[in-house]
Amino acid sequence: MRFSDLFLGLVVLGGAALLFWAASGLPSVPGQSYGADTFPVLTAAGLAACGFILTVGAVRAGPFPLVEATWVREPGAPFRAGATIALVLAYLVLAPLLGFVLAATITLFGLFMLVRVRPVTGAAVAAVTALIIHLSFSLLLRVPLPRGLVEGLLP
Amino acid sequence: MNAVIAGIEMVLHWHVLATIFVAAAFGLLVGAIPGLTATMAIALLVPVTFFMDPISAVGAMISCSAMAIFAGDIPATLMRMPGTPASAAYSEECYAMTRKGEAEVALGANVLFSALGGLFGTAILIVSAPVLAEVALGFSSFEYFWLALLGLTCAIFIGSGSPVKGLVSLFLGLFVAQIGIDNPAGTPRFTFGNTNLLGGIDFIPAMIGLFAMSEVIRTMASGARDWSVRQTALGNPLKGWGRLMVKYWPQQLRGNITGTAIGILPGAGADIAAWVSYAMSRKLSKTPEKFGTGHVEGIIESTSSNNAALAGAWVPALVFGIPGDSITAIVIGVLYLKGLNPGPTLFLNNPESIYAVFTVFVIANLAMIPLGLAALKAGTALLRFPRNILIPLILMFCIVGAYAVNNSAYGVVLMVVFGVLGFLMEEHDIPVAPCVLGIVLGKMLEESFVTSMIKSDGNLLAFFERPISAGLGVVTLLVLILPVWSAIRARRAAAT
Repeated sequence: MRFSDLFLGLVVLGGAALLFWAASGLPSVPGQSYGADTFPVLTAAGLAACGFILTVGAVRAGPFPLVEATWVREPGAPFRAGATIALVLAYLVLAPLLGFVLAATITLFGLFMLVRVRPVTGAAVAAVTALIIHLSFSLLLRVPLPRGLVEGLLP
Repeated sequence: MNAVIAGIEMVLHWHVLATIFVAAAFGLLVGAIPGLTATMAIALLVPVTFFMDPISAVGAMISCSAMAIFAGDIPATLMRMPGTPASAAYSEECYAMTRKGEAEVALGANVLFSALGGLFGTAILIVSAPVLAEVALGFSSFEYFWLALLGLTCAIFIGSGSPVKGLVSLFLGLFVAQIGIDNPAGTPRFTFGNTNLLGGIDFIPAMIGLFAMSEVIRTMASGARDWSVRQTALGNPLKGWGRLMVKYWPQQLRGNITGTAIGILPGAGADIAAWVSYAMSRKLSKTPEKFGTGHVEGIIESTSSNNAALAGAWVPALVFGIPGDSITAIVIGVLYLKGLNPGPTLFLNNPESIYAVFTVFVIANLAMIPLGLAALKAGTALLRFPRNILIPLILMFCIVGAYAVNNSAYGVVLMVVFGVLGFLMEEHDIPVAPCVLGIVLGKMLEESFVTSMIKSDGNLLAFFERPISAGLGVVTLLVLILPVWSAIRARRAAAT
């Protein structure tokens, strides 16, 4: 999915307005004209200028769709991109509940299925990788990865 | 002299050397896989460096980045797909040599001249950094303001497609740098009452997101299909090294000098150096018509240039704490973590660690020749590894790496946010590099600006009152104005 420069310009203008509004609420340092709000306001001004140039350029260039459809040549691409992000979020939810090894195995298996790895291969590689990462990070590097059912059985 | 010997001794321990070689192998692996950049290799390496002593950590990053930049040439030559953006400038040329059946000549030249370019850049680093550090001792907030601004300006106006989109990326980065309580006034900004945000945005998870996860999302979206490798059997890559060195020494030297200079320039790195050197080589060549048909001349100049730039980028990073490119942007973060705070005082207080850094550079570039030759043998096998297994594994390493930064899930959340952001930015041709430099330089830019304004009581002319500050200011303004001026001239020429 790809938005047009017009859409982009409007988003940047909106962001600049939000930033300006948020920055104007910041308290100033007593007795100084330069404080916490100086830089956010400058940033907002810069963003506004960029948004303006993008919008004007897009309007001048003629017919202005908000969305330019690319990715058409790749059926399923938006789904796979979304599912990849969803699987990482799923890991974040699952890891505290199930522990690293199970959560990582499930996430990896899901990712493998998205790109058509054979299920048996995918399951095996996912489980072995999760175990190797757990052992190397927990034992060698002393990173306290989330613990759960499987970790209790391991050294 | 004692410091030099102490520095060399710090590197010559078996565990330091072993770390350097393992990191080099990792860099070769990541660099040789198209889509995975040298910056990504460094971002993924950082969580592991937490568990190393300072010299091993710095050594690992130096050797990893040097190898990754060279290894990017392997798929460029064999498949016309640059392994890292730094090889993009001459991947057409390398591939044309492969089509003529001369892949081993191209790859041999890549190994040799990458290593020589890296050594040249290292020599300049060794000579110039201590001298510049003496000068930098006298710098005040005015000079640092201009240096930071110069770095940001170069990142936008040199080698980027649309300056406006580059600016959007930069302002985004500056905004990210403003989050948290760490600002001249000590006021919490944009934290929404969240305690995690109070400390600011953690740089490393953001980098893993912007550089690694965004690429994973893109590859997953396209289905992660396998590549087709054209030539798999290689001849002797050592063939003709002597002849190439004798015949093309002016090109090599020019590439070395251009690359180092662009590397030293804050904000511009190996990618841009390769483009500039390739264009320069073609312009100054006696046989420009041969370029694009599989001619080794331009390859030599630009492959020397990108590795020279890598070492050059360390000059502003070590002396001023201002990154020369996106790799040193990450390196600076690690230097702070390891207590080697970059800046001129590092040369006074801790000279032996500076000499240790120099020693690692020399070792890494010398080791590039044998390791590079071995990588050529392994490279074709690596490119046949199923990509639909590789890419999910990389994502898992991203998750664990982002977690390990603070041992908390907050790092993974940051990685996802910046991963999606980076993915969307690149889908819309918004470059990521200015955003990264904005995040790194934002604090320095704000602090030096606000301090200077308070010191001078709001007088903007104070930025031009000190000689070095005035010089830096003029250079920055020139970099800002020249592209705009030439764009206007081009438009006028087109109109008439």
